[in-house]
Amino acid sequence: MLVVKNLVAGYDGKAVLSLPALDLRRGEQCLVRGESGSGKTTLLCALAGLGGVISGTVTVDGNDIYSLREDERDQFRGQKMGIIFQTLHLVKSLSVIDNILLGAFASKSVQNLDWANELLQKLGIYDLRHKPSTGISQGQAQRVAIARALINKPDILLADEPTSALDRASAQSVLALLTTLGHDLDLSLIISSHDERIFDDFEKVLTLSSKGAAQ
Amino acid sequence: MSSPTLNLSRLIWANIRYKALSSAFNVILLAMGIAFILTLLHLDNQIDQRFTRDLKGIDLVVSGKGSPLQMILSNVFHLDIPTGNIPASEADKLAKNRMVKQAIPLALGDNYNGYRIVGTNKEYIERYNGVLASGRLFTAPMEVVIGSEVAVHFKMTLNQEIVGAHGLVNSDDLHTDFPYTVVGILKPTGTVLDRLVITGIESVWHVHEHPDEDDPEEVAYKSEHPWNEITALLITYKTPLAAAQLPRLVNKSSSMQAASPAFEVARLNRLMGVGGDILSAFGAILIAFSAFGIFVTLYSSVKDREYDIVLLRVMGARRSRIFTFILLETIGLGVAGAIAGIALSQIFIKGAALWISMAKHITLEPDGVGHAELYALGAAIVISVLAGIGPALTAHRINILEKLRQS
Repeated sequence: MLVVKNLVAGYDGKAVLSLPALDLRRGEQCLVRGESGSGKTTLLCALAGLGGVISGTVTVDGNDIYSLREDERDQFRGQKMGIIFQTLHLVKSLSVIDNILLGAFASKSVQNLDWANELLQKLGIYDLRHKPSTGISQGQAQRVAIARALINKPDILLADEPTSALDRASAQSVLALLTTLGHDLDLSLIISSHDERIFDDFEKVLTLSSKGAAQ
Repeated sequence: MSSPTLNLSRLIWANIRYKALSSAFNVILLAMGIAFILTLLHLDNQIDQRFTRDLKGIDLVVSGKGSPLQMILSNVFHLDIPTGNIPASEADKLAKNRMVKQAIPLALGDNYNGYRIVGTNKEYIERYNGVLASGRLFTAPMEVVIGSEVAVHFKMTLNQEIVGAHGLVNSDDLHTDFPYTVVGILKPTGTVLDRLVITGIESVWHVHEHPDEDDPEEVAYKSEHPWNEITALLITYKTPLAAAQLPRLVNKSSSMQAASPAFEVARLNRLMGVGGDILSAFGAILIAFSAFGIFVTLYSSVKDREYDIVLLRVMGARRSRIFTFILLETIGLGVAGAIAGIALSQIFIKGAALWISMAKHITLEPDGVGHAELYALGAAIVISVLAGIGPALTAHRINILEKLRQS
C-alpha cells in the first residue's frame, strides 16, 4: 500500500528528517512519535505528496507519487488519502455537511450523500449536519474534520496531532474512533503525535528524534 | 430548494454571504456607477433623438433679433421665450426667395394651461407627419387642432371650446372674448407637435388685433406696429448654397435674424455636454472605487482564507481550479453589480423621463434594455476579472507546505 524508501525530507533545502524505510500494508496502523519540531508534520506532508521531499521515494499502490505532475498528484492525493490536520480548520462559510462534502468536491469525486450521512451517524454528529461550522464545539469540529477526511473512502488516513488540543477523555475517545474507523474501513492509518498519552494498539511505531532520524 | 451536493456556485455564494457587508457595499458601489452612466447615456440619446425629430429638416429659423440659441429653443422646441416678432410682409418676401424650398410661419403669444398655442399653417402639421386621430384640420379662424399630449392631459373632445391665456406660461390673463373651438385631435407623433395647440395664423392675429385697453404697453405697441407680425419663419433650403447666402441676407435686414438649428443644437449639446461629462466622470469614479473595493475585499478575503485554499489543495483541488474559483467569485460580484446597476438605471431613467415630462412637457420614451446594458455587463465582467486576477494569482501561488508548517 504505502512504501517509503530512503526518504529525506525538509524545507528551504534543509533536511529535517530521514526515514530509510517504511512499508505499510492495507489496514495497518502506524504511530509517528516525536517531540515538537522533530519533523512529524514534515513527514506526514511528504507522505501525502505535499512536497518537502529532498530525496528518496514514496510509493502508494505502486505509484511513485513524486513522479506525478503536481496537478496529477493533487488529484491522486484527493482520491487516495484523507488528511486530518492539527488545526482542524473547517471552512467558516460552510455548514457541517458542506464541510464534509468539500473533501469530495475538491477532488472532483462523487459526492456520496448516503456515505456522508453514515459518517455523521458513526461520529455522532448527524443532528449538526445543517449547522454552520462556526456554531459547533472543538470536539464536534474534530469529528467533522474526521468525516471530511473519510468522505472519499481513502486507502490511507493521515492524522497530524489529532489529540493535541483535547483533554484526556476526548483524546482517548478520538483516538479510539480513529483506530476503530481504520479497522472498519480497512484503511491504513498513520497518526503523528507527541502526546505521551498515546501508547499502544499500533502495529508500527516510528519515533522521530530531535535529530530527525526515524527509529 | 438548494442542491443537496456541494457545487461551485454554492461555494461561491456561501463565501459572498459570509462577508455579506463588504460584498454588498462593493456591489452597490458598482451598481451606482453603472446606473449613473447608463442613465446619462440613455437620457442623452433620448434628448438627442427628440431634438432630431423636432428639427425635422428645418434649416434656418428667422425671427426677431436676439440670441440665436433662444430663437431655436423658442421656435423649434417651444421651450423658451421668443426673441421678438418680425413683420409678416418681410417674412413673406423672404419665403418667396428662390433659395427657399419651404417657409412655415409661426405666431406665438398665447398658451392654453401652459401648452403653447401656435398660429401657423397646415404645412407645419405635415412637416411632423401629424395625422388626425379624430376631426379635421382648421379651415377657419379660431379653430384649433390639438396635439395628442394636450388632448390626453385635458381629456379634450371635438367641438369643445377652449380659452387661451396671454403669454407663454400659465396665467390668469385670459382671452375670454376669443374662444377657440377644437376641430381636430392629432395622433401621437413623438415630436413637439404632441404638446401644442395649433391654429391658423389668422386666429392669433385676430386675438391680438384688439389691444387690451387696460394694458398701456400693449396699446402703445399696437399703435407703433399697426402691420401684422409673425414670431418666426421656419425655412427649408432649396439648395445647399442657401446655407452660405440666406443667413447673411437675413442678418443684413434691420429687424430679422437668422439662426441655424443644427449649429445651435450642437452648441447646446456642447454646453450640456460639460455637465454630462462631469456626471459620467463621477459614474466612472464610482466604478473605479468599486473595482478597487472588490480587489481589496477579495485580496483580504484570500489572505483570511489562505488555509481554506490550502485545505482545498490538500483535498485534491488543482491550482487552476482554485484560480477559477476565486475569479468566478469576483465575476459573480461584478455580474451582480451590473444587474443591479441596470435595474437601477431603468428606475432612474423612468424617473427622469417622468420629471422631464412634468416639468418641461417633453415626453421621452426610454428604450428599455439594449446594447448599452450588454456593454455594461461586459465591462463589469472585465472590471471584476481585473480586480480578481491579483487575489486569484495569490491563491494560485500559495505554498501549501509553508502554510501547514506555520499553522
